[in-house]
Amino acid sequence: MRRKVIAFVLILIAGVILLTYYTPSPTTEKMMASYAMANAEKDTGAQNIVTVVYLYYRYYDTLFEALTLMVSIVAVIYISYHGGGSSHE
Amino acid sequence: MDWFNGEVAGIILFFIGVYGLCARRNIIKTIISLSILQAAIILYIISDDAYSSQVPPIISTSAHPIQMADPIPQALMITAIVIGISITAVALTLFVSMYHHYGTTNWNKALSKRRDAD
Amino acid sequence: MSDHSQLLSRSIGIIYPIILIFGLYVIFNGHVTPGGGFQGGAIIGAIMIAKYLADPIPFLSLEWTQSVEKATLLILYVLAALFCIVTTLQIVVGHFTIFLILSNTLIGLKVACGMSIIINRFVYYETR
Repeated sequence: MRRKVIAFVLILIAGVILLTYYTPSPTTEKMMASYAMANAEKDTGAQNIVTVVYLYYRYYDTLFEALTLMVSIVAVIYISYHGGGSSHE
Repeated sequence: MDWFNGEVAGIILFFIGVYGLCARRNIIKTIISLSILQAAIILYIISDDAYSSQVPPIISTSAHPIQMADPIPQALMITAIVIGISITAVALTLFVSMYHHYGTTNWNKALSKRRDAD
Repeated sequence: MSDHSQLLSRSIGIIYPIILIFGLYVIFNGHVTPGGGFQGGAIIGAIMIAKYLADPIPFLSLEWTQSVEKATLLILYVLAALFCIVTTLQIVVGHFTIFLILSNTLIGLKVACGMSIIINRFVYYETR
């Protein structure tokens, strides 16, 4: 019963959101994207704009995301019930 | 089926994930729901303002910048994907430890056992 | 998984170098074609899954892999600081391609190490 009530409420909310869903007009100006497209090859000489964005314009993102991955791996190893280390007993 | 694009699929998947978080008391299903939420948000942001006539954002002689897809969400979502993998891995590790400790996969049973132990 | 099939292990043994070459291609061409460090690192990390399917024996030392990952992250930070200094003082102008390839390689190595550690942990340790 509880699940059915939750499902009904969620379906109601999703239906309202989908019915009133507003697609923004494609003429909105994308300033960051147009800047990246205009200046990527001139700034770095690389053709792939995605690589230029995450290695040149947004490099801090990449650095701290790599740090996040490493911290999570430390957590995976040392939080575990079986403990750290690599012994296979 | 013209109305069914990536954004609509993202919204539907988002509410499926919210249902899994609200209505289920299994820890594994909670983690699966979190993964579904991440996938839904990534799908929504990637496919926002994207059309099937767009070309990949790679500078070449044939493609004009007006036809290209937006490179900013793609570059931001590649970090979101890796962080999602990290979150799922840590959550699964915590679940395995908790299962060894309390011996149940139910939130309420684990909570009551914890209260009994205190 | 002690009763693994001979057919699977033999056929996966042929696939290793192909996965490795594809991952290296994705990493080293990340600045001209779709791809980059994260994607190539994830592809190289898939070798661990293939290895587990072929013969499930742990062959990678966890401490060693983690040391490689930490060293790679440190080199990445040092490279970023060096790049900032060099471009601000205008000592070297216009060698961004080398910087992009180096960063992609380091990120690819780091993500591959991380994925290997996660897969090995969950396959060999958490299932005990």
